[in-house]
Amino acid sequence: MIAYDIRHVPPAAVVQVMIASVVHEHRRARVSALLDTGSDVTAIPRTLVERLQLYPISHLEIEGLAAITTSVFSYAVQLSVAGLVISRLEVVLTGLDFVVLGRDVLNHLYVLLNGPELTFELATTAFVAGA
Amino acid sequence: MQITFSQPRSETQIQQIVEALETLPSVKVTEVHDFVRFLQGSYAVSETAGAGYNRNEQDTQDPLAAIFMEERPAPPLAPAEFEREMVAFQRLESALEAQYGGRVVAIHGGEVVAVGDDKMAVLDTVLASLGPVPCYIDRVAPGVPRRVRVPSAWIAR
Repeated sequence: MIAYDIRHVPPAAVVQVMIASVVHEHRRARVSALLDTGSDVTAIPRTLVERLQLYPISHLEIEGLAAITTSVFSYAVQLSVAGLVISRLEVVLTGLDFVVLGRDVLNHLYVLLNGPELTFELATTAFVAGA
Repeated sequence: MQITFSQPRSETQIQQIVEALETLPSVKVTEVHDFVRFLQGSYAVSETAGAGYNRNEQDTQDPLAAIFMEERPAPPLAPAEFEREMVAFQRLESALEAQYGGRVVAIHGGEVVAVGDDKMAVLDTVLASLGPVPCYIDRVAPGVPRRVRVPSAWIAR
């Protein structure tokens, strides 16, 4: 069980992920990531572009909470989380200092939220009932 | 609309753009506006006008006003080579539709260098055959670029 991050108010499910360049895999960064089942796509901190020397590969139209659409560049990265390695993932950038882990990643994982106890589990294999 | 420019060179370029726009049908002006909005999003200029541009309230209602905005001094997140490939994709789109409709293509040097059914698979093909070169990868289909939703909100503290 992983404790919710109480720096988020209300507390949130946050996990550590590894983001790496698809060209130079030694360029990597360990970053906190907020589990966000509302996001279609994963976003990484803008600061990683320079740090990992990422280059855009395409672009996407992003529709936010205000239903306003913005065109943004997308980047390819390698993402590792909870034993899952996605060798090529199209991501967008965020001004936030943490990764926003969208359903493009979460749909590869089993996620069990225990809100009342502020804990969660994240795994690549199904949870065993009663375990 | 009142506009002042900090650099004569910009004024010339922008005047040429305006003159060219006036020769286009309205549907093409809309396409140009969409592209300008794309560039604004890419360079995060939509909330801050360039130093040489004086906006007034009327301008915010004018779809052409954005064209006169100058780039912020912040470094671009996309190298010029990538932008050239992206523009090439847009220029070639109708021709690509005939040959690669529904498929994903990678554009490098203004030409198709890889084709596939998935952006990341096409990226792999490019990396394997050409190495880490600037390229633009997208699906040749209506409704491209793909629209994704990120509706979450965070309270600033």
